Amino acid sequence: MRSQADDVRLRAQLVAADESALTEAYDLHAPSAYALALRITGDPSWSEDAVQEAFVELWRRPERFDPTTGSLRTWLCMLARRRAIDLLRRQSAQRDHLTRLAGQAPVEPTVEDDVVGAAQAKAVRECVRDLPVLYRDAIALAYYYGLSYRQVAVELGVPEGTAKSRLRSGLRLLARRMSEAGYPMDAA
Amino acid sequence: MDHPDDLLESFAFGEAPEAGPHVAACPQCSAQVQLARAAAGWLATSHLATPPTGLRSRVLAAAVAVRPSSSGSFSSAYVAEVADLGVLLDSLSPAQWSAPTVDGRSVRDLVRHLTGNDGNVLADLGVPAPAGERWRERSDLLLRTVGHGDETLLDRPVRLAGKVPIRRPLREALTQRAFETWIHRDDIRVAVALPPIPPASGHLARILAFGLALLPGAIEAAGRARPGSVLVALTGPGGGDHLVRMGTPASPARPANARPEAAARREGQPPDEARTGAARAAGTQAAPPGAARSRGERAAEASAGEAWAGGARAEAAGADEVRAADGGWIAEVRMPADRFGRVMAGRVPVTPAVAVVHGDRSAAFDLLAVAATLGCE
Repeated sequence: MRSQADDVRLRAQLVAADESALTEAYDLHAPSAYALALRITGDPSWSEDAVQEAFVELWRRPERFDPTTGSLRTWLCMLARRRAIDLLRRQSAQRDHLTRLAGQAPVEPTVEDDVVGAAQAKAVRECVRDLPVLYRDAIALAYYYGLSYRQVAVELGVPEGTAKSRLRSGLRLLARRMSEAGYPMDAA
Repeated sequence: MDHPDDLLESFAFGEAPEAGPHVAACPQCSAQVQLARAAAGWLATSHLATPPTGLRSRVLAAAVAVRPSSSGSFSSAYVAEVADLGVLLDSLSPAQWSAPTVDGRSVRDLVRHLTGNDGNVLADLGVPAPAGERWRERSDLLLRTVGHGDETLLDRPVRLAGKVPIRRPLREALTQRAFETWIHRDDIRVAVALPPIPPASGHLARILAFGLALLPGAIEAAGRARPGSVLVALTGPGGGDHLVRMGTPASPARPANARPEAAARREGQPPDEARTGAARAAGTQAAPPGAARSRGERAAEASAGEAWAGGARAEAAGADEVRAADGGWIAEVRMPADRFGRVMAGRVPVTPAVAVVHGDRSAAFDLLAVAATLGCE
C-alpha cells in the first residue's frame, strides 16, 4: 500500500509545479477516479470531464490536499465525485436515483493491475455487498449522488430521522467490516 | 452545543466547508466525520476502470494551461527535504514538539527557525508571507513561488540562512534551504529517538558540492590558505572525489590575521555569540556568553561569512570539483559523504578520528575546521 510519505512527497512536488508528479498521480489514481465518476454518472464522456477537472484542480491548488486527513487517492476521488455529481444534477434533476442504483449494483472491475489497490477494492465490494440493503441504499444515495438526508428520505420513502440513522449505521457497519478485513479506519 | 448534524457527511465528502470550525472543536462531530471520511475513501476505491486512451494527455495539457510547470530541477533537493520534514512533523506527539534538540532549542523552536528563514527568502523575492503562518504554509508558499519562477527569479539574490547576512542567487539559496532543512530534520529525529537519515544520493551530492565550492574562499578568509589542493574523497551514497584548493589564488596576499578581524567587525558579530565555528570545529563545548575568544576562533567564524559573501567566487554547482586523476594534492581526506555534510553543519566534531587522512595533516584538518563553519544555525 502506498504510504502517507509517498503522498506528502507528491504533494510537495505538485506545489513546486513538477509536472512529473502530476503524471505519477494520474497513473496511480485515475483508474479509481474514473471508475467512481462512471458509477455516479453512468456516462463515459461526463466521467472524463470529472476526472480531468479533478486532476486540474489538484494541479492548480495542491496545497488544499491535507495528507493527515486521508490519502491522495481519496482526495482525488472526492474531487471527481463532486464534479460528477454536479454534472449529474445539471443533466437530470428529476432522475430516479433508486432506478439507477438497481441497474448498476455488482459492477466488476475492468483493471486490477494495482495489486494492493485491487485487494482493497475487492474487500470494499464484499463489505458493501454484505451490508443490509436498507443501509446500502442510504449510503449509495448520500455518497454517490450527494443527496441530503431529506432527499435520501424522499427517495427511500422514510422519515428523515430514519434516513439519517440508516446512513450512519451503515457507515459504522462498513467501518467495522473493513477493519475486520484488515483495513483499519486510519488507513482509508 | 449546537451540532451541524445535517452537514457532517457532506463535510466529510468534501462539501459544506462551513462545518469545518465546529468539527475541529467538537470531538463527537469529528468522530462522525472521520467515520464518514473513511467510508468515502473506501467507497471511492471500490472499483477501478481504465480511463480512455488520450485522457491522460488531455489532462496534462489542461493542467499546464492553467498553471505552467516548473522549468528545472534546481529545487528538487529542497522539495524532497520539505516532504521528509513534513512527514516527520505529522508524526510528532504534543510532547515531542517540546522535546529539546541538540543545542537546547525545542523541536517547536527549530521549526519556527526554519519558518523564519523560509520567510526571509520570500521577503527578498518580494512575496509577502502572512505573519503567524505555520512551517508547512510557509514552505508551500516558497515551493509555489519557486515553481513558477523563471531564470530571472532564480538569479535574484536572497538572504542565506546563518549568522552572517549574506545574499546569494535564489538557485543557490534553495540548495542551502535543503541543507538546513535536512540538518534540522535530523536534529528533530535525534530529539525524538529516531536515527538520522541522509538525503537521497543525488540531493546529498548537490548539497555537498555547494559547500565544497565555498571552501577555497572560506579557507582564504580564515587565514588558513596555502599552496596546493586537498583531495576530499567522499565515500558512499552522494560521494565522489573533490579536489579543493587551499585558498583562492586570485586573491591578493595579505596578513593572515588582518582581514578576518575586519570581516568579523563588518559582519557585526557579537563577541559573545555562543556557538562559534571554531569551537565546533575543535570538537569543544561552545564558549559561554561573554567568554573571551582567540583571534583564531574569530577568524574561523568570519571565514563562513567571507565564503558566502564573495569568497565563493566559484559557482556552487561544483566548479571546484575535479577528478582525483588530475593529481597534485597535498593531503587526502577520506570519509563518508553524509558525515562530511554533518561536519559542515557542525553536528559532527572534527576529531582526529573523523576522517582517514593522508599527507599534510595540518592542511587536511584546517580544511575540515573551516568546513565546520559553513553550516546553519
